[in-house]
Amino acid sequence: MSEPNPSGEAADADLMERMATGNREAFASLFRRYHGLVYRFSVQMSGSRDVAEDVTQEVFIALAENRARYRPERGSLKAYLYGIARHLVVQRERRSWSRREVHLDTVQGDDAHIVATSFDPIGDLSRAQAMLALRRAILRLPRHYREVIVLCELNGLSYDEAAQAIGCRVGTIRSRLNRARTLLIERCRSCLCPPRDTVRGQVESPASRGARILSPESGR
Amino acid sequence: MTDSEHKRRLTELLNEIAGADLQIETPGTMEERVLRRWDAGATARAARIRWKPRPRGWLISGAGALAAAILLLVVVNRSSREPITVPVPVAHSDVRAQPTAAKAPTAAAPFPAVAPTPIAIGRNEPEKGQRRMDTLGEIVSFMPLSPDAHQGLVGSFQVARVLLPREVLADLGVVLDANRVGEPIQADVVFGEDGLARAIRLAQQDTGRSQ
Repeated sequence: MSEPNPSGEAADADLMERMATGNREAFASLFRRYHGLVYRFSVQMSGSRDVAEDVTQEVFIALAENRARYRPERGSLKAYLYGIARHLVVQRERRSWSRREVHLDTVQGDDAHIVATSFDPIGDLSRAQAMLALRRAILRLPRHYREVIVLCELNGLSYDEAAQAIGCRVGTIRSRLNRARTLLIERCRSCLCPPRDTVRGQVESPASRGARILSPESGR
Repeated sequence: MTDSEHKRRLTELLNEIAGADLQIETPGTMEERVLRRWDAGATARAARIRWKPRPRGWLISGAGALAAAILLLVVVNRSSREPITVPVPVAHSDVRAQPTAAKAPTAAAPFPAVAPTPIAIGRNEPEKGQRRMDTLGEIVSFMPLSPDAHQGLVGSFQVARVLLPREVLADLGVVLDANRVGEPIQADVVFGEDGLARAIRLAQQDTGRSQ
């Protein structure tokens, strides 16, 4: 049996062993420990909470049914779960034709929440606009670039862990990440300008349309 | 803005997105649903002796292709070794021992008449097939249409089913039924690589009557 974590929680390997014997509580513990990151990753990859919900459930059911596939010597359980989630998201993407429209609606709703909680409305609206544009750009990246951005930049995985989750070499992660960042800069060059570059002006329906900032020169 | 400023700004924004996404929460009912599915599968898991990996699709396809290839090889090899041994309706055994020279084909008899020595049709081992036919006695197969029919059939050949005038049977040494003169008769003709007819076999007639 593995030693428990300093926080007193059982180690992943221990929980996996107990789960393999049919221990329901061990499975529930693993779910509580990792469902958040699996769900967040799925939302970030797909842009859809509905898809993420289904994917998260399927990930844990797959873990329960195919627990013998997990090899601790190959990597952490976290990376393994990310790998399953990534696979399921890709499967759904291949089936879906209207993926992008659903994603953008969901993303816009998230940013509206950020706009409402600000002491500096203009600066935060500008930042919200930039984040919205960046989210859209991330969702439009090719999958192999998107997944490294989501794993390494948005979820803080190390290159090793990302390589385990994706099933490639660390060097591949590095090069993909570099290329993905370059693509994002190319596509979001205008929104990457700091807030001071934007001319302050009239704000049109900030709550509903993602806080579009209008410049006086545009005449609108 | 320079490239480095763009990169720095991108990193800032990505960090902000990551921080904002930490607030994303899983729907509260998900745990209950997942545990319900665990409970539903518990019975099946308990009955399972051990986890068994699913057979991979490519493995099944490969094994199927290999089996089909082996089967095909066996069939081809077998057919190349065994002669075609369909009994000919009539063949004179006494004539077989005395081959005669081929006559020039005529309009009435398009095939040169030769002694109907039975031969075995084999692709690669004519000697073996011949030996087998010798042991079969009266059971004959194709009858050669020329003395060098064996040589003409060493390589590839084709068999075509044709309708022939019944009078041709006389040239093959077959006794004709006088009541049925004029009726066509079905026969299988072997054509060599050069396109010449090499051997003939009288096919079973649809009416069930022999020639």
